[in-house]
Amino acid sequence: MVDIDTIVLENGVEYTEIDDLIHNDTRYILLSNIKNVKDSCIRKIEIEDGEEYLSKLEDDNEYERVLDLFLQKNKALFN
Amino acid sequence: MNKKVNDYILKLFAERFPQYNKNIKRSEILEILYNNIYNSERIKIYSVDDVLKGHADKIIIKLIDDYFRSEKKELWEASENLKNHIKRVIYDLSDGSFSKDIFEYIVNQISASLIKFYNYNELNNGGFEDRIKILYEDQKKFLEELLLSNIRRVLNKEIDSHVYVNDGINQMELEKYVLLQLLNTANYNLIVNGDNNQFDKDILNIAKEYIVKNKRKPVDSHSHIMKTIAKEDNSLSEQEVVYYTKRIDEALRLNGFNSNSIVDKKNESEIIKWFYYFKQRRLSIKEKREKEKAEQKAEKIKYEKRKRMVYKSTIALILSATLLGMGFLLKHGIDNTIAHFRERRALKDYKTASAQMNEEKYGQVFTKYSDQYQKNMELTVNNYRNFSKLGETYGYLSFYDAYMHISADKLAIMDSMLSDIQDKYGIDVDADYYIEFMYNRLAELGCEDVLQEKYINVIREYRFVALNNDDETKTTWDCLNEGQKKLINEIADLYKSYSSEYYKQFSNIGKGRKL
Repeated sequence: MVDIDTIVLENGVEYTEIDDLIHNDTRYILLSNIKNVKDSCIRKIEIEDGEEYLSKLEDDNEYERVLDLFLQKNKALFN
Repeated sequence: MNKKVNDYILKLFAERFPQYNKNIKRSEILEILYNNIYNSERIKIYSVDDVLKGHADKIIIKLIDDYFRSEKKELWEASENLKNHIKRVIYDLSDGSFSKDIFEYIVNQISASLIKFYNYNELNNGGFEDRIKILYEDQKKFLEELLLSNIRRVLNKEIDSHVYVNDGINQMELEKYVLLQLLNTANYNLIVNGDNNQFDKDILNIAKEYIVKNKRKPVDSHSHIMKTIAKEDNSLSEQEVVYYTKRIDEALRLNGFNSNSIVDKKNESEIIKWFYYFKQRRLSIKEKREKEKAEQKAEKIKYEKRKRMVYKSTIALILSATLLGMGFLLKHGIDNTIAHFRERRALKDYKTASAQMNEEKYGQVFTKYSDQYQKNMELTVNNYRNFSKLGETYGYLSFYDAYMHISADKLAIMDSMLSDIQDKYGIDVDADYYIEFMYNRLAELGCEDVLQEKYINVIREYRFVALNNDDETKTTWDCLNEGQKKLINEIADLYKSYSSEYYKQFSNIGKGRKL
């Protein structure tokens, strides 16, 4: 058994944080719904008034770039 | 006398005075011809050619009519009364859309049709309205069809197709316009008997006039709209003026306006009306976007993590499946493809079947596991093969992609089995790592069935031992742990018998190799 970090997103669903990376001084996390592995998403962490908040990636280019970085980071899984 | 002229005038008489045909003999007509037409000073100015081309038609018709008016007064009056009655009946129907010549021709044709079956006394006592209306519709249809076939012949020959495409001319509208113009202006004789060249020229001229008038002039209409809206609202930026102009131009054209009517001063109110419509709509969209943004900000959630215990295999499964799924999206675009839909469906089908299995009792599940698992895998593999094939066709999904998904499913099944073990017997599930590893390797070697059988037997055996434990030195937990160890050893033995190479990998498991 292992400990994992989970987060409840705005839709009320619990996601597990399965990976993270820093890109352009921003920290991004890869989240996956434990009950449905097909449901996954990326959020970036923004700091406001010293508090950390999760926000969506509105820019498609940013999304694709970060997704690509996550895949590069974990490419061993596919080989 | 020229025979051709003779035949022409006889034909004209038959066409223009059909109402007399029943009441007059051919010899009498010829007499009229010689005495009243050829001897007339008014006809002598026309050459034979002119007459044959129809240029003297009006004079000839007038001379024949004069003859009947003076020499056959009773017949002429009866005929005139009938014609007037017909005119009264069809006047409203015709709605002034025919030239005088064509209107007269239609009246004559209706009159001739009635005279064939009734005499003037009967007809002039009134009535016959319904019959007159039917005859009118027949005549109208005949004329329209005749004209339309001629119009199409000329337009197809003379008008370049780019007119319809580049100049925005609607072919049907053009044909309709030429038809109405001809009905309204043409000389019937010219249409039916006259000079074909002249008739064709008339059609072409009318068509050209329409094309010039209705040709699309986007630049003109755009600049007019631009000026109008800039005058209406001088706070608009250049970009906004261009935006609204395009929208307004489209809206006006969709509502039946053409370039000419758009630039028409009297239609400025229409431009302004549409301007305010689009301005309001744009503001609404802007407000909606801002609201959405504000809501999104409010939705922003705090980054608060919780801890949760899961099996190692679960996290490995989540990571691989998530990345694989996302890799798929990245590679093939965010939009769902057909293959992607099918893949989701295959997975859903599998999960439903798997969930049903979990609901059953432990023993039953294991008894059925082999068959059910096999069936599910076949279903899944078939589905994947199908969409893999489909995917290859569209270049969306390779067989490798499909294979990776199947592997993920195997892990899911293993995970489900191990959960069962833990739930029912509390076995230390860290062992799942070893079992899972071996299971997959053995499955790759094609000994899945043997493995499953072993698995089921060992679990059954130790469940029995644990439940019937009478050895005071051992707890139930000890029994189960023994069972687990035995299972691992059995798998290892089985594994060894299949592959020495894989055995080496197995030996390293306990030395810290991580998934």
